[in-house]
Amino acid sequence: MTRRILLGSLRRRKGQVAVAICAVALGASLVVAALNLRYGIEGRLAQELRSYGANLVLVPRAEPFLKERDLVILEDKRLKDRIIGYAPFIHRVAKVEGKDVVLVGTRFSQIRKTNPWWQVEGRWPEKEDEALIGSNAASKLGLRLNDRFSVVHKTSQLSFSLAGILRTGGAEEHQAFVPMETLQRLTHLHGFLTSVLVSSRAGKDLDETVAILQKAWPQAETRTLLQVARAEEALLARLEIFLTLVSLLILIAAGLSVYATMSTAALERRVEMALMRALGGEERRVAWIFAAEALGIGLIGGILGCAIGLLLSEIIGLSVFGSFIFPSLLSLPIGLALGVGISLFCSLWVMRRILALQPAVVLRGE
Amino acid sequence: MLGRLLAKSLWRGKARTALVVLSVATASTLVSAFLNIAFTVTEEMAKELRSFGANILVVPKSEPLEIAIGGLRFVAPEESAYLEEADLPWLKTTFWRHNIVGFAPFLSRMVEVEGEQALMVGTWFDREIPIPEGRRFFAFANGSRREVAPDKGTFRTGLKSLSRWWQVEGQWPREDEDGILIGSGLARTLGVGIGGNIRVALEERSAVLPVRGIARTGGEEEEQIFVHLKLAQELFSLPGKAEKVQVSALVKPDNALAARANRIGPANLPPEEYETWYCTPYLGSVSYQIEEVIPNAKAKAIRQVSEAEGAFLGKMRLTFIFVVAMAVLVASLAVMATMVTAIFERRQEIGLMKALGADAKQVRLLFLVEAGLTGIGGGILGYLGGLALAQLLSVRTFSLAGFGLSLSSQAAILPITLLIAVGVALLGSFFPAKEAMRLEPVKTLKGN
Repeated sequence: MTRRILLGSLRRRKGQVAVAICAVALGASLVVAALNLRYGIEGRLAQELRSYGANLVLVPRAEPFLKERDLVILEDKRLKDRIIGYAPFIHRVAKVEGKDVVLVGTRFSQIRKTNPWWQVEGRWPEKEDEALIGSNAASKLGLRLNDRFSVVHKTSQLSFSLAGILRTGGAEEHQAFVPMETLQRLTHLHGFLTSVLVSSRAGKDLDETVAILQKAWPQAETRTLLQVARAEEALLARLEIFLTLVSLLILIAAGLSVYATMSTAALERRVEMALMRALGGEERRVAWIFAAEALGIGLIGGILGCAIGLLLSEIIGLSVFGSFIFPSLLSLPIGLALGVGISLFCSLWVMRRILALQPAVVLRGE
Repeated sequence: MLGRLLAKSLWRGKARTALVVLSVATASTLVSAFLNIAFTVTEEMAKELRSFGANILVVPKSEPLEIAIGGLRFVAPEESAYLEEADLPWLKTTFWRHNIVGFAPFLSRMVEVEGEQALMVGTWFDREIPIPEGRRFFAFANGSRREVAPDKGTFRTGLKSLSRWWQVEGQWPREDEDGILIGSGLARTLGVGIGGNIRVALEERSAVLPVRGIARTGGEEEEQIFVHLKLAQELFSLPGKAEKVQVSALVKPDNALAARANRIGPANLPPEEYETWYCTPYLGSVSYQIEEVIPNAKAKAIRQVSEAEGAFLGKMRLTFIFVVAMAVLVASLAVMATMVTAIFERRQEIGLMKALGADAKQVRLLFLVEAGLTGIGGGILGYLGGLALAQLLSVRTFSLAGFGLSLSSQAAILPITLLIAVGVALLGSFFPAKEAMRLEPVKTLKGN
């Protein structure tokens, strides 16, 4: 009986039901999208912050060098997903064209990832006798692109060709960069390193990463580059608060609009309610019918809203970051609960007011 | 007639009017708060970032080749070039001087510290400098001149405000007495603590200095010692000199114009574009203006900081725009829904008017004007509420010691808030009023 009344009422009032469902769906979708952004975006931004450069540096603790073969520690599966990139270095002072210059051996493919702000005029070195020279060093040494020059370290000598000129605005502009193996050969320091720059996930994870590194690689001292780490921490913390507050505000606003729509819908039907009661319907039974309807509207609207909200947040993620953001599992139940909860609450609230009136008064239209 | 009707209708339904205005106000509060945040949040973020390192490095035009390794630094004596410390206050007279939030000069040499080689760096820790006076004109290629009122008074700056990430145990040394800030690595090697004295020697000159603080940065600074600039100049016998200056400037992320100016050089831009470029705080134009006031200097972007900042702020801005657009949409929905309910409750009134011979136009006008007034009232209330709310939010979000909150109430926010409130209120009442007009008066009056 109740089911027949319910289905009949829904069929007859297709338009109004659709409007109510739309309102609930819209409100819920915005809440879901906001929450998804709130949780999904942090990971993306933490990654975005990696363009700030490495936030950890590994230096030898007691001995003068680190061992190159220990780099496998950084590829270990415990560290693999914490470390976004790393670049090994070996620093030596050598004579380039008769002048003392800091010569740095590194792996160019890795440094391009950890230091994306490096601006190279010409091209990145590919062969083992190609070098990258800082802009100031190049002008002081009188070197141009594709010039060949000799490097002397103690008794050994090698010749390089200048593939690119490097601009960073920092100390790197005074240095010359060559492939790591070549420098190790030149200086007879096979398999040794002086430091490793590590770009690790920012935020809370950083301290844990440091602790793991200390244990896994005891010969190396792990230093946190505070300039980068502090900037990241501050930004992420503020972002988190900001997005939480905005999600909260959106939640309130969405609640308001769903409330207003559902109240209208319930008000529209007071005559119907009064009629049912006048025909002998029990108060609880009548309330149950309308509550079931509100529940249905809330459920359908909520589910629709979740789907639209997910889509919306992915569109935003795609247009801002160029990739999908990981949807937050929390957002879906909250969106659904908002839809169902508010529509149920509103219709019950309005119903209580109407049921309190005498059916005769309502039916007379006062 | 309309006026009287309106006044009566609003007055008689005081409680109802108040309720509708209140709900419109609530929604407009959210709109205005969101807009406030959107307008200022990226600026606040940019400011925040400025406390994490300088983004411009000023060096002598003939920058010497340094050999810097493991915190040590050597320069061939015949190559050395310097800037004049006395020129620095001119930094606060450039076109974008307000955007220059801090700077500090540096002068360093290898010295012998208790028998160990270490780099001694002279700098300003926390210095108050007078800003040079005088009117300033900025002339442009097309002949136009702009005068900018000079800044007055003094400007406080130095390493302490420039490098907020430094963890200093003990105290920062003072400008008016000799004292050392020592890197934590070097302090450990030498075995000195706060309050101890260390001997610093360069050639035949030497000094015994008290240790005031120990600095941890994670970088090469941990192997160096820092003193105030004057002391370093005396010890190195380089009076009034500095070898480089770090400048922290608030800049806008580069756009196409800035990129072109960087590529072809500002002098080759057409005059109008040059003026736009000069009058926008891009990293390039601020650097260019620094080179204009400091003789023999070259200003370079510290790309690690500037690139990351530009990319990050760009992304943030886009995110905020989306989030705020979403929020404004929800708030508008709330206003509209409220208005629909309000009109709906007054169906009978509409029916009555119609039954008494009012034509559709008049009734619609009445309701629209009423909605408009409600929108204006709610909008203004909401604007004020939004200001307060935004203030609250930003205090919670961006309260970092040292940054005064400058949530300027942007002029654009009031009209936008009002426009949204009124527009949405009108839209919200238009359809239900029309719907009510379509119904037979008899039916509405009967209450079906």
